[in-house]
Amino acid sequence: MEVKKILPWSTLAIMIIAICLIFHPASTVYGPGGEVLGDYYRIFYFHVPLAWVAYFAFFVVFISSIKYLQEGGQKWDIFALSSAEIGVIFCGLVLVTGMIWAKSAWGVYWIWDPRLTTSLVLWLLYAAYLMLRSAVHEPERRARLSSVFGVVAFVGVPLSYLSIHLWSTIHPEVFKSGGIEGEFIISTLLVNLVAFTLLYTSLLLMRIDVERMNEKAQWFKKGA
Amino acid sequence: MISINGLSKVFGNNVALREINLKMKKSEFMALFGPNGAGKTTLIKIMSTLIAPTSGAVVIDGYDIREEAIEIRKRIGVISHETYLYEDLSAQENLQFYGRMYEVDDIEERVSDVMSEVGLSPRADDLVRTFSRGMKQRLSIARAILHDPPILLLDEPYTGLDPHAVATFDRILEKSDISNKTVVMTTHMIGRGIEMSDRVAILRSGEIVYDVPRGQIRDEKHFKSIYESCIGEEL
Amino acid sequence: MRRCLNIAWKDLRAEFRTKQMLNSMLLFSFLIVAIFGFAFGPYPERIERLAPGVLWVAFTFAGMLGLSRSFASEKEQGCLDGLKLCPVDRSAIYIGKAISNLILMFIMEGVTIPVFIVLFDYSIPNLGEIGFVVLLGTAGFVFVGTLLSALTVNTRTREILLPVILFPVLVPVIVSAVSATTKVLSGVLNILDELRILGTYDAIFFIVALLIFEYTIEE
Repeated sequence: MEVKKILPWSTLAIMIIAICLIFHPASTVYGPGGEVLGDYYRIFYFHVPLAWVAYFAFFVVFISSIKYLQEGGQKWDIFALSSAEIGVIFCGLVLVTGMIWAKSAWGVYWIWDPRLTTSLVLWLLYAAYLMLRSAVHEPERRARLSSVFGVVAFVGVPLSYLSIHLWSTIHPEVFKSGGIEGEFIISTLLVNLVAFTLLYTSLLLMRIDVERMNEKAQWFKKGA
Repeated sequence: MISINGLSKVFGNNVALREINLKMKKSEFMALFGPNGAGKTTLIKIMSTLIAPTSGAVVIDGYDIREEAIEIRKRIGVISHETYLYEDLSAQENLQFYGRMYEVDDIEERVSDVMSEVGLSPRADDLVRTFSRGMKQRLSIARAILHDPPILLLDEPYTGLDPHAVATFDRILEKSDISNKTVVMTTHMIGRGIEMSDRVAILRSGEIVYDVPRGQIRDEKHFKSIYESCIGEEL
Repeated sequence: MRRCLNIAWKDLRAEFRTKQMLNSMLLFSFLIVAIFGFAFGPYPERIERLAPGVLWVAFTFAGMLGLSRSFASEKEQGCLDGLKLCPVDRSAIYIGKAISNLILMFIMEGVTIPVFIVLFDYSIPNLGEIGFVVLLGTAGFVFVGTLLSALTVNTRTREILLPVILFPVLVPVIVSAVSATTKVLSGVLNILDELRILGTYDAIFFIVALLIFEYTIEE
């Protein structure tokens, strides 16, 4: 109970600190040649933690799906659903911030870089996961079928990355991302990582609460 | 032969079966009545290993339903209102297919035996698609008894049959050595059920509320009054 | 195993009698090749760069038609229950279905490739290597497709849902199969990396499918 009260506030606090750090002069991003890059490059401090959280969220879907298939229990299903929804939103933000970065760095919105493309595949996978859920009405069947897909979707991700890597290197690799150097830059990134992980955790807990209340409401409706 | 202990099945928030206890001896024929949604089909589906129980134990011919489902499947034949037949295969091909799945010995011979038993030999090479409802249901008996199971589970087998087809269905059932088989049949046709069975039970809201030997029922009318008082509504 | 083949035999027997699915798969793949022909103009340059994409789009889209019907036929007359009543493991049903889907796919591909050759007047070099890539790619497609086809058959919008959930999972197959085909067509036979990914994909998803197939057809 206590954790649920403290968590949102501590998330808010660390988010504010993280944002302040991003705009601190010492967080300026340098290009590969050591030149100072424009302020819009600071989006990378969002981009990396978002990607980390999105991947982590999908991993949680995978684990919850396995758990559901093994032992059943609605809580695993709620876990998977909540994590998938947050993951899809965060993964969408990864794509958007990636595109903003790409536009300012290379003048194009999209490059078929293995990491960015894998994020696109992930987004498609879990958008499909949510679509599958919306197509089944009976709660138990929905939980079972989406758990099967939760497993299948995640298992293929490493191979997706490998194959895209192989395929995109057919084309010359023109683009290299800027280097991450300097203690301040790394600590800013770390603080952001923590902030976004906390944000994910609080959102997950809230989403689970909402789903539980939803269940209860359904139950009362039925009883009435 | 069949032993059910504390069997419950819950679908979401719906309790389909509640603490069912049931024992059946070898070659007993039980007719199971009850209104729609009482859990008859669920009970049959659990006994035939198609759905898993939420809690409780079902042991059929010494085999546990969760651990040894495959052994149980070898020993049961199921006839439901769905025929389980492939429309684009001929009658004979359907039986050959199921015969191979059950690893029946001498498939050709057994198939033609069963086929003549249900009176479909002349139509053996015709596609099931061209069959009438009654013929399909007869073929479905043939399918269920192909591997000579000691236990038959019949779930609303009369659905969609006209009176003539019902009579034929019963005649074939009786011919097919049914007195040596343990049978559970669910049906809405009270007269039929009482005539065939030697034990009668009523299921209401997932509970067995009535269970007596056939001998205690005087006639159809008598049973209808019992049924109405059990269910609390008129037939 | 004999009983897996029995299931496949039963499927193919029914299919060759009506040819509903096979005909629509063939016609559709034919159509895709023709549409690409229209889209690229009558005599496209560098056909060896287009061919892999055209072929794999034709294979996967036409294959999708077959997959979406694969379990739908079992739903009629409750046949899926009939299969589940048979004294075999659930995974035998999966293997049987996968075998019949594979055979239908190979037939469709065996017709599509000559059609492509004729329409684009393009003689495919290294047919043996192409055949091997097609074999591995198709296996991956069918292993995942059969599983997800069983999964979507119980949903309301199965025809739309199957492609939406299947294609993102197929990315490794499509990407490495197209990449390998491109290389082979331009005379590069060093496709070990692609084959490794395809092989790993096939193995992983075959095992995963055997493990979790039963959950897709439970009630």
